[in-house]
Amino acid sequence: MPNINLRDKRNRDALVRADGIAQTSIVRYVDQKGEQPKLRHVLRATAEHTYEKLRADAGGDDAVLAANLVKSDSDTDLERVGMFLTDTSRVYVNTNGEIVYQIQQTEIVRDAFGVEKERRPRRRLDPNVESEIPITWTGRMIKKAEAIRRFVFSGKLQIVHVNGLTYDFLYGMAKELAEADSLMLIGAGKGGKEPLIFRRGATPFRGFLEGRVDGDKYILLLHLSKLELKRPAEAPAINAVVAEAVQPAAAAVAPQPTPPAREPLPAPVAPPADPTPAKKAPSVADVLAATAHVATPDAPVKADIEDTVAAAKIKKTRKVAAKVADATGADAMATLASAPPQPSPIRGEGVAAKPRANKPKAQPEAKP
Amino acid sequence: MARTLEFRFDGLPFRCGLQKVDRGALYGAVDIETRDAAGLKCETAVLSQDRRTLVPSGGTALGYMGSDGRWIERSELVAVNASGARLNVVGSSFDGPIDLEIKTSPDRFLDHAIKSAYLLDAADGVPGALQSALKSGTIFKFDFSYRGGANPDPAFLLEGTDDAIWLLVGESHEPTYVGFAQAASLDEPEAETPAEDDLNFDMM
Repeated sequence: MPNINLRDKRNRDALVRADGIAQTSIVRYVDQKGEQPKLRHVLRATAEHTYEKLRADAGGDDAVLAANLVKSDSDTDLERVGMFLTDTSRVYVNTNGEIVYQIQQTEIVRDAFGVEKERRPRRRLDPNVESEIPITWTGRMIKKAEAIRRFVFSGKLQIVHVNGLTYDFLYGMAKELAEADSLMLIGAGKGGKEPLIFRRGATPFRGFLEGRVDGDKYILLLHLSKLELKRPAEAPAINAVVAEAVQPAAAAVAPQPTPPAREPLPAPVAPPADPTPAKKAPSVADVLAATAHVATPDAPVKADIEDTVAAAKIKKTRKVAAKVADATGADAMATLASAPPQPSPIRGEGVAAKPRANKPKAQPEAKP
Repeated sequence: MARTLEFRFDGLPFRCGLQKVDRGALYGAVDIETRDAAGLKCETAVLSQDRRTLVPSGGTALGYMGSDGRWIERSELVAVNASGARLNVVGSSFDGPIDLEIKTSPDRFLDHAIKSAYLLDAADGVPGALQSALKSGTIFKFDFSYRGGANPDPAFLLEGTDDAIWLLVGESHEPTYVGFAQAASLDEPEAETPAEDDLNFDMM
């Protein structure tokens, strides 16, 4: 558990310890004999036997690939599949399937609707809870009852003393906070404005100290939060969002070279022959019509493109349309095509369906 | 269609849709894109212990194995507590009404770390008495299990500052009072003993 360099409101600081206090799980799973089974990792498939690799080996021809599978079971490595994986390493592999030893990482910053805002080199913030500058009381007290309704406290650490001097130091803090029935916002850096970072590259948290006292004993709890308890922002007007979502989708489903041995794609509807600048989004109805074969269950090319980003976005667009239609009882396409930029009827008060282009994975900096 | 939870307060049932709220929904997110020196996109893979088998994403599986080397299906396993007694399996909280009977204090609520936050949307409204209780800061506690199982999580229903009703699913923590005699020790990094080769006399 980390040490914390903590400073009180009198500007006295001391190095103390923060202990984890999560309850360990008391549930075990046993077999019929009452014995606890071992969880084993096994190999299911290797990189040499993925669909992409096998298809490339077959010259990109699915018919040849199918013949190869029948002839030689080339999709399974019978020697290795099923082996226990014990001492594994995580590596980076490029699109050629080669292990990479030097990488460059870029952060793609997206807003709450999944729209890209910025690209920058990846940065890993250094820990700051045990640095030369102590964690400081900001002087900002928040009543417990209010704090509970404003922040999501996703982590807890109990601050404990390490000697007699730090006992007095922490007991005094706990007593003051208990009497105020409040949490104290604490922060790192000069002025205590920065969030707390416990390990290099870890998610920053805002810290709130809570104190409880019972006789000469105390509890000093550090509550960690990276989320406010508030409604997500409302999406922009539905027309703009849909146009933005379907523009790349339309480009992705535009006529493309078809593999020779395949059945040709249904003739896609060409983008409107409009000499206006390329950035203008096609109408929603046009795009949905052009991409109808993608979302049709029986379409022969569905399996090929269903996993593409384009297909995902089209699905999302259709989902938005369906939601609007559900809410209004109107036809989805007609609703989307004709909807003026006005508050959506989905959730009232101008809330449109949430159109996030990408499910976010990594965490941005804390901003509670 | 999104799933809905049914609650019951003073015998009055009401249903709520729920929307999970996380950092991505409030503040946005950061994706990491990795490329090699030649600019080719990279992804992570697992290199097995033989140092020649590359396992792509999704190329591993997990399985339970008994002491006799036999594979065991998950459905054959039984949940027990620390002393080996069988635990009751509860159904999913979506399968039946959740009774709002137990109130909890802010201190007890603060003993829990919140794992998931859901914004509730009661399309048909909530009982008036419940609304008044929530507005006055009452926090209701109940057990919640998304899929059902032997280990339901403690969950809370409360009202936020913007009048929204929240379902917060947490995990219990146990802070304990500490006295003067219970001093802990600092986490000291191990001091490295310099190897003889590291002693550099040139610098003196």
